[in-house]
Amino acid sequence: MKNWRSWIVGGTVVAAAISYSSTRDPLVDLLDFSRSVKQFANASIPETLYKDPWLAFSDVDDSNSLGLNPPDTFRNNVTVAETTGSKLVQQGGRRFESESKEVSNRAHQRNQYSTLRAFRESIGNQWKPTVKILDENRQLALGTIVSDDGWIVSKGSELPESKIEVHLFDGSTAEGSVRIRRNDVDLALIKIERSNLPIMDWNTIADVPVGGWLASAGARSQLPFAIGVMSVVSRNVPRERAVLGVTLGTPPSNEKGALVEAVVEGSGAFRAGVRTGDVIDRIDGDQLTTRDEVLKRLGTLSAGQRVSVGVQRDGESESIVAQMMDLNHSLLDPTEMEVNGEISARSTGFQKVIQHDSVLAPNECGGPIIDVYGNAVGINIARAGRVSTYAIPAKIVAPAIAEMLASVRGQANVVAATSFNPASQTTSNLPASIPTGIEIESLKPEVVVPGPTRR
Amino acid sequence: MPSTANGLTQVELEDGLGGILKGNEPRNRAELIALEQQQAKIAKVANLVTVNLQHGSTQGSGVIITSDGFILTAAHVAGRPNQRINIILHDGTRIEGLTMGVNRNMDAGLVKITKPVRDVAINPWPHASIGISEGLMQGQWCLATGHPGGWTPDRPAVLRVGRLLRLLPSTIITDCALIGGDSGGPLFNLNGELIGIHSRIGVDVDDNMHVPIDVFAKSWSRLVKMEAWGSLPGFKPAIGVRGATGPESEKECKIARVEEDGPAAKAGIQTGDVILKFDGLLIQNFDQLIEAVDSVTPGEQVTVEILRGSNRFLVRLIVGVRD
Repeated sequence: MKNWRSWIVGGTVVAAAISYSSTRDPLVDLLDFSRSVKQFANASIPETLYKDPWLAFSDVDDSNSLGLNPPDTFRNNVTVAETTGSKLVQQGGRRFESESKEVSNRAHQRNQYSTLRAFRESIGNQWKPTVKILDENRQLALGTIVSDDGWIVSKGSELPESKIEVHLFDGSTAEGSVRIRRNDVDLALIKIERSNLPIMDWNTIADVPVGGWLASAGARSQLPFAIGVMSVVSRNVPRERAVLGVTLGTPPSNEKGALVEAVVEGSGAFRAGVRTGDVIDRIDGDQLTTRDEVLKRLGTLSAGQRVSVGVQRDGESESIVAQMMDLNHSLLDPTEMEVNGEISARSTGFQKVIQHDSVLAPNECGGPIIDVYGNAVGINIARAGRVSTYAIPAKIVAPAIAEMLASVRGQANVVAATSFNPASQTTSNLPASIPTGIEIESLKPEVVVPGPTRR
Repeated sequence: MPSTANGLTQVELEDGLGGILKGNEPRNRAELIALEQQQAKIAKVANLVTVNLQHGSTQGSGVIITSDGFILTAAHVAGRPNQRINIILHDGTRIEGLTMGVNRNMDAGLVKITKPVRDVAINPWPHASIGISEGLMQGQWCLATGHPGGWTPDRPAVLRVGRLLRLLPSTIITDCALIGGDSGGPLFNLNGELIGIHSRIGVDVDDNMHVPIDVFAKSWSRLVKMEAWGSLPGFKPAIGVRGATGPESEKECKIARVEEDGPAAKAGIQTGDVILKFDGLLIQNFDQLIEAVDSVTPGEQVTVEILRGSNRFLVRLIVGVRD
């Protein structure tokens, strides 16, 4: 019996070889493909099919492009010949026709290059403060430069304590590490040793309507890597507990530990390879003897945390590293996990989120979203499911960043001073020769809520 | 199908949309702004006519299309005709309806609001403007609303924007991302006219299928008469049993064979059991069981009453799909 939840219609996209047959037709050479041409069959490709890759290659403003000159006009159809020596050769005209129909569907997608291109005017230079954050060549997240001396904000739960690599707009890289975290908004600040960097200018009052565009800025060019619309009015996303993704029972015959009775599809345990029948008896090296102990220990861990799980499997001891994930409603729906791709480990517990339908991977979160007017209105904070990505609004991001910056710079009292009214001060230890001033009591790193007097 | 008089969702077109209306991409910021303003206008009114539908363990979406309270939805959300169904309006108000006909070949279903009773001449139900799916063009921009993941308090209908990727008489395929809970919700064109109803999805996030609105127009008279017919290819419900033949088979539904690992086997049904009730329906012979199974959606959980020897049991069964 098929699993009813497979609402699957097989729709594989077959990329068709594109080549030219006569001297004057435009050629779209998808780099290594289509080396040689042979006049054989006649089949037509709709214009939409080759227009998009051509534009991608010929856009001289885009640093990704090869700087080719586009043709003056695109003809309605290009006559195609069969090619040899290519992975993508299609045998016979008729088969190609039906497959080219499939591919031409893809040419009309919302997220294709021609549409993304239109957003460049809106993004302007706002992409330059965007960075990529990697660890051993693996992308962890995107980030945004918030001070010209090298402070970067990103999604905290995706970042380790150890050194990470930051790739900047100009192609350079820098090493850095997380210096401060704010768990309530899942943000963290990274420091790199650079100066004169472009910094993001957040717009905390722009009000994007439901149906309004949101572009996710890329770190390499003005082209956004994802676009979407605001799906619903901003709201609170209540915190769910972080889970490993297993149902636990008591192991048979007095074995110590907890028996894995089921593994939740798409969860950290699932992705790490924990199996039904495994008996968990160690967490992060500590021996645990009962199911309650295992549950209690798991309950102390937070979303994003990687935990070493020791299991007994078929008489052998194994150690599996799995990531804790929020018990997002998507995790509870097996269909979601089959038809979505990954969701972020931390995807709940946000005071206010902007929800949009841009398609992102979890490791593409942490960067800025820009509205059609060029305002940086938030930071992508989580991929929450097939239809939703969450962003934290700039109204919350900006003060959180200011507080974190003040804290790491040890300037707690200076922040207070900006809203400090000396006239209202009743006592002062300042000598009479100094008519006005602020007496610094101490310098210690403390998170400060901007507001009136702290004395 | 009823006329679209006083439909709420049809809105005026913004200036500056240009070739976007025919299905082209926006070329620059000005066109993006025009498109955004059009989308925002439609989003506001689309929310007012999108509803959540619930009965038993099934949850989906729907759209009110007439002032007297007809709601279009997916056949697999409506389920069986003539059943009570719970409706949640855009503002959280809970009302009641009755399921009407279902065209399962196309996954088109109809519901009618029954409670509260309204004088619709003075107080019409807010409803969508109905469009036409014939003549739609690939690449045209479209808007989808619904309640993904089920209805959430303080969360209005969720908007997605995409484009028409493929147009077939039976299906519209778009890249408006849908997920469970969205089924039965509305798909609008850039004029704010209803052109489709969400039905099913593929693995790819760009693979989302909707029932063209013209299907509802063609099926209207049968749907209103509460007819149920057909089955969606690849989703025919099955429970994995074979009925006994013989002299008794006209008066009782005895099971001769239970398919291994099938839904019936998993529910604990055994060879020799007599099915008394299936999902609340009285079953007197195997044909009636077939009819009853045909009318449930794969994945639905139903209660089955069986007689084994002299004992009656109630078992829970999750309906499967015929291979």
